[in-house]
Amino acid sequence: MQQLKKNNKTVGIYWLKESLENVTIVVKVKSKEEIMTLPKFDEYKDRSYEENIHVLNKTKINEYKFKWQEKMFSTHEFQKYSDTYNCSTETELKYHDMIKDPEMKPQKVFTYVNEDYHLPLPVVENKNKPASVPKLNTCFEKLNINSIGSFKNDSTSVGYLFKSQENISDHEQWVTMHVVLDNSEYNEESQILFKQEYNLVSLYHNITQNYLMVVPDVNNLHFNPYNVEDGDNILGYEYGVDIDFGKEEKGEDMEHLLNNLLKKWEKKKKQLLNFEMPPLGMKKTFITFEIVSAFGFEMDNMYIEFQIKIPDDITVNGDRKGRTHVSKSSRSEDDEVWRFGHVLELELEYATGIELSRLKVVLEAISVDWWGRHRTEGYSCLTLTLEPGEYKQILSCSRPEELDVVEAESRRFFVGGCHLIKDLDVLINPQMHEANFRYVSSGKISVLWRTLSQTQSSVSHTYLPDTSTDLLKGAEAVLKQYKKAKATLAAATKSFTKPEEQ
Amino acid sequence: MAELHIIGQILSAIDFKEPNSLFCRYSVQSGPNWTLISGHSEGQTVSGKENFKNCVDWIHPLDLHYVCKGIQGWPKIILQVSCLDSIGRSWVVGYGCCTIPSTPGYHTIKVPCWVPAATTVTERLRQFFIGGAHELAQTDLINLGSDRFKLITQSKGDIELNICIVLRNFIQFGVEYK
Repeated sequence: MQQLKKNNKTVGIYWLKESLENVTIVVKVKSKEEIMTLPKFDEYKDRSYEENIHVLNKTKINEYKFKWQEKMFSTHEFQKYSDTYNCSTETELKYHDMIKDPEMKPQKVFTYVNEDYHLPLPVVENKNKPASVPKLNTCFEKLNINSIGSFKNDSTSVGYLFKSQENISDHEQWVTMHVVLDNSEYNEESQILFKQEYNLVSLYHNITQNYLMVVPDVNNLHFNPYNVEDGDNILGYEYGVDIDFGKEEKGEDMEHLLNNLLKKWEKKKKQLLNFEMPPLGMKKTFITFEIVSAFGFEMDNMYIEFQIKIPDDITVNGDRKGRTHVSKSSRSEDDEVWRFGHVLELELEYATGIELSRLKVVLEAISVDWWGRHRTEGYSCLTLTLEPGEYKQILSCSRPEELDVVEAESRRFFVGGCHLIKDLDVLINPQMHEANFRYVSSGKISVLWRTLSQTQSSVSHTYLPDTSTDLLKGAEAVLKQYKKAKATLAAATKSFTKPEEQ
Repeated sequence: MAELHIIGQILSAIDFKEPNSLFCRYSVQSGPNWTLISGHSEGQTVSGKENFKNCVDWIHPLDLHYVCKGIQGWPKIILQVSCLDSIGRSWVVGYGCCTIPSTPGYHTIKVPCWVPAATTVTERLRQFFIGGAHELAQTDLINLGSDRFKLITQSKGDIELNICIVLRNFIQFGVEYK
């Protein structure tokens, strides 16, 4: 039986992303195209053919636009509120002031806003909500011993009534607006003779959940017009509903999603490409210098003291001077070896394009005897190249000795101690100094150094990481998920209409 | 982001001249610019006895993959050789440290090892008869040379490493290594 009654009106639910102030409700009303509505021959017989064609083609669609909670008045309301004596409440007085505006005129299609309290609010079932604390309190109230007797006397129908009301949510807050067609009859003085109003559209804004319920939903006036009806009465008008949500455009979500994705992409790219670089026009060189071992020296308990001479135009970060631990020898392949494995790290920064004088490393092998005297066993000087690569070198050491052998040996045996060369520049530039001593070869020191350099490369380092394809794949997956979620939402909102249709 | 692959093995310990079995604990340490994305930066080899050439073969594999956003703090390998005697006691017989090579290709590295020496006669006697050795309380001393001058050490043997270095994307950041 339900199918026989033709009803094309459905409920629309819209989840709001922006405020309702931007929403425009458009109601288009037109007369039904029936035989009765066709122009009568007598009325048009005296007019020209062109005029008649123009009349027939003239669109009969009246369009009414309303903003959210915009009050428009019917003729009856206009009459009523124009007289101050009819206005007692604050709302009525406000309407009275509004009517004073000369631009305000009564309309055939007008509105009832939330302040009018004209139509009932929708009822929302509260199926999934857990029992709230106030309800718990009511339960306790019912369990009051004094009222047990009266509770027992409740009829079953009242019990069912309570039961049915449990599911109704009384916490939902609604703001409503109704667009109504005024079909009342008025006399010549605009006094109402017969009041007849037809509700065209009802809009309910659920403040709690922030969605808009539109009854009936948006339609197409040409393909699916709504009848203006009230119960069994169908009026000779058709209407269409349209809602403009303001700034919202199709694909806005997608744009927002892609923007977020782009931000993430940029962030990841920045993170990936955030390689520490030297300043522009500067070069950085990293040197790891390792004093590996010493061998062939005369005395035991050796340590190596080192000093690095760095040109003034190089900024250096790291120890320039220091010494290794004292090492007791061990025998390896018929030779005494002192193992150090002392790693020294240097970070040099200098301007590119200038000629640098090389780094000089002066090593002094010193022994400690059993009663604590330090003897210089030998000196060695190494010129460090800053060319990138890995270098190993075995440095021959020599120590200065007095020209007289006896004097030299006795001083070394009895006195020992102290650095033999106070100014190490003698080792770096021996030709610049007049020496009254000779050098005696003593032992060897094995060293190793690795050099890395870095400049602001002329080669663009804005390469795309390999993960770019993965990231794009991720983007596609996100879009797929988004579409899926959108479809789920559509299905979920569709289910809202089912109870209304039934 | 630049990448560094360290593939190789801790091959052997040479000339430690220890009567007991030897094993090695290793740890690869790097600066804050470096992130290990695969492999184990720490581990321990098997223990083995020296052969007639005073060599203990471990052949312990290394496979590490680092990414870096700066070349400061290039990785170093820190080694600690311990001995294991017949009754299950173990103590340190050598510390060593070396920087991982920065040039790509195959490298054979000999890491010299040392151990804090017994400075008094009683300690020496105790170590000879009972066993045991001094250990470093602060292992930072192994790779940082600044405070090491306070130590008196005994030279031990070498640890031999075979390492293959693969570098990726360093050139694109203006790094020259060869």
